[in-house]
Amino acid sequence: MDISAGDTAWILLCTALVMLMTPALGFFYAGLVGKRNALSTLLHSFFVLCLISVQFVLWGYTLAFGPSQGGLIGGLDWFGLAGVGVEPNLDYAAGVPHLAFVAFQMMFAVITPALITGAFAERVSFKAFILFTLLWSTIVYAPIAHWVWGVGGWLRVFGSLDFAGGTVVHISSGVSALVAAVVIGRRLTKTEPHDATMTILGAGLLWFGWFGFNAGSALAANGLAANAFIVTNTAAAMGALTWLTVSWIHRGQPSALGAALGAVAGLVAITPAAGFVNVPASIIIGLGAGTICYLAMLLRPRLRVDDALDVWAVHGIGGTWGAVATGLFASVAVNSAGANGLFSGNPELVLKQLVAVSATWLYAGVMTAVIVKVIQLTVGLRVGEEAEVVGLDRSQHGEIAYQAD
Amino acid sequence: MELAALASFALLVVAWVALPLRRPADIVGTIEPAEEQRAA
Repeated sequence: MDISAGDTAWILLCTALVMLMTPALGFFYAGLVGKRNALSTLLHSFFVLCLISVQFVLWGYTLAFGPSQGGLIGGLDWFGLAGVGVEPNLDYAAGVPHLAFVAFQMMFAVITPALITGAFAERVSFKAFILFTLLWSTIVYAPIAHWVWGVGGWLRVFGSLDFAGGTVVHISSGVSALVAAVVIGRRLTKTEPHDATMTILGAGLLWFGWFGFNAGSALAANGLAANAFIVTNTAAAMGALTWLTVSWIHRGQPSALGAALGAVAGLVAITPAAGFVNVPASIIIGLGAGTICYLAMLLRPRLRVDDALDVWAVHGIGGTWGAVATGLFASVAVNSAGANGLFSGNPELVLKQLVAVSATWLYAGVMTAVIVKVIQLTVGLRVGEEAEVVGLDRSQHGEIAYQAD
Repeated sequence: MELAALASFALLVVAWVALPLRRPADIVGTIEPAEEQRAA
């Protein structure tokens, strides 16, 4: 098949949109931490963008998308992108250069470990963070991406649906964040969000970039991309409206930060469903995300886990809801390459979705525990107490975010 | 599906109209009284 100029332009544009999401996530997170950790939190996201950009072209892509080794992981045939050129790969994206598909997937691989850094905030050493990111991307992200999206991946063959990364990106990062937070332990003192405006700016930019994430996952400039685009926007809006309302009922006031968190929860939940559900379903998915993720956020402190920025509640639970909702609302009227869900007469898809969710929870949780424990026993995980009190900006980087107090 | 979606949105609109805006206890006393309260 010939390369399509329109499809190629669209995918390259979407790649740039998804790239923007990682620094946007940095702003989203940095606003939620204390001002002595704002710079280190921003750097986490920025550093992951750089680190995984190199890791992915060397071995990340081939492990995720290379020729399947028993449905579990890709082979090393495309190590260093050997043999990957401008000719399209007919299995993945027939109308665009293979390198454009690599670049698009790279940005997904970048943002996923960056999401986990919200659980590390304000106490993990920079050295431990680097090691964790590199190991997690290789041992956790690449295999799960292969299971779900790789040709021959066992979940893809099994028939579970994940349009843009509900399991691969959000459940994997959310569950890993929870496990990492358990092993790392709680902060010495909890801090209040130091700049809510930064968080809302970050949420707005995430929303903007998410159009590339979801609509780009159609891998062509076509009607499916348009469907993904509008359901993404609708679910984000409903997530924000719902979270704000639930927080209003619960705490007596509509929360501005709640609107930002709710929009992200809605975006997370629609991610696996964006190419399989219609607009009315996206309203219900957004409503569910705003409610369920808010309740999960309330539950998390009762678990006595210091997942500092609620990555598990928003991404782990939001991604799980989205995956299940895909099993409920999917319709071949939206995407003939998909499947019907429960409400279109096919309850089997819900079971398939639950298998994918369970496998991702289990694998991401266990492997993250192993990775974090190994780092703890070798180079150590946390900064010292004095460094934590001073803040990571000064103690880890010798810099501060703000000159004036 | 369309009706369920409409009902979801309507539920939110009703909540916005019905919900009171409370002042939580922890900020009472930290806010300057409004002019009309001072005059009273």
